[in-house]
Amino acid sequence: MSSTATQPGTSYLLRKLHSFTGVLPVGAFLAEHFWSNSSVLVSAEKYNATSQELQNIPFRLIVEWCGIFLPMLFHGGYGLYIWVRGKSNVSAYPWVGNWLYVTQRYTGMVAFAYIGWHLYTERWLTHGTSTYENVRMDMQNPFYLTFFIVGVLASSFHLGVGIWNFLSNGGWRPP
Amino acid sequence: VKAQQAAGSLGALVGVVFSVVGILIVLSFRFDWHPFSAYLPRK
Repeated sequence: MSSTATQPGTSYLLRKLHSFTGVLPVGAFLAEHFWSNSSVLVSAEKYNATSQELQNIPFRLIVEWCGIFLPMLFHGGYGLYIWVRGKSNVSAYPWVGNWLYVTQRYTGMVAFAYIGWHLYTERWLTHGTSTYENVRMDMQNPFYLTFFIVGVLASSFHLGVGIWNFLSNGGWRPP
Repeated sequence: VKAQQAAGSLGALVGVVFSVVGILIVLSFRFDWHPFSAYLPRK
């Protein structure tokens, strides 16, 4: 067996890392984000209390950058790189797996754009002190509301297919 | 093959559950709607 067969290349390892970061920490953060935001289903006060608690966690900036922003930037950036370099063969082989693969790329791009916008409006513009009233007012804007719904659906679909890929083959796909 | 089917089922479940919960959160903000407010102790 040649040495190249036993030593995976950088691209292979990056793809594994790309798949892994989509589940941990990015997917896990999405689960936590939905869980904490579900407080709004109880009451506005409960949402504000949960939000306040998250705003006051120790080492907040380190947690945000190392646990959320940087992994997301890597996952999104490398995902775009894979997409740009890859060639779709869905028209030649219109199998369900191929359709899911292509749809996952499109939903990933939509989710990446949405998350960037979501971070800008709800994290940066509010200086990390977003309240129920801030978000409620945003939702009165039809553009915001539509983008929220599209972003939520794209992110959920992308994560679902990502989990399937990750558990099926560790994120490896033939180039 | 069975493991891949299980992985697919889990992925589908996550996709559907996250979509539903996410839309519920959006609707809650949009319509000032709090379906679990009954959890709060009555004064």
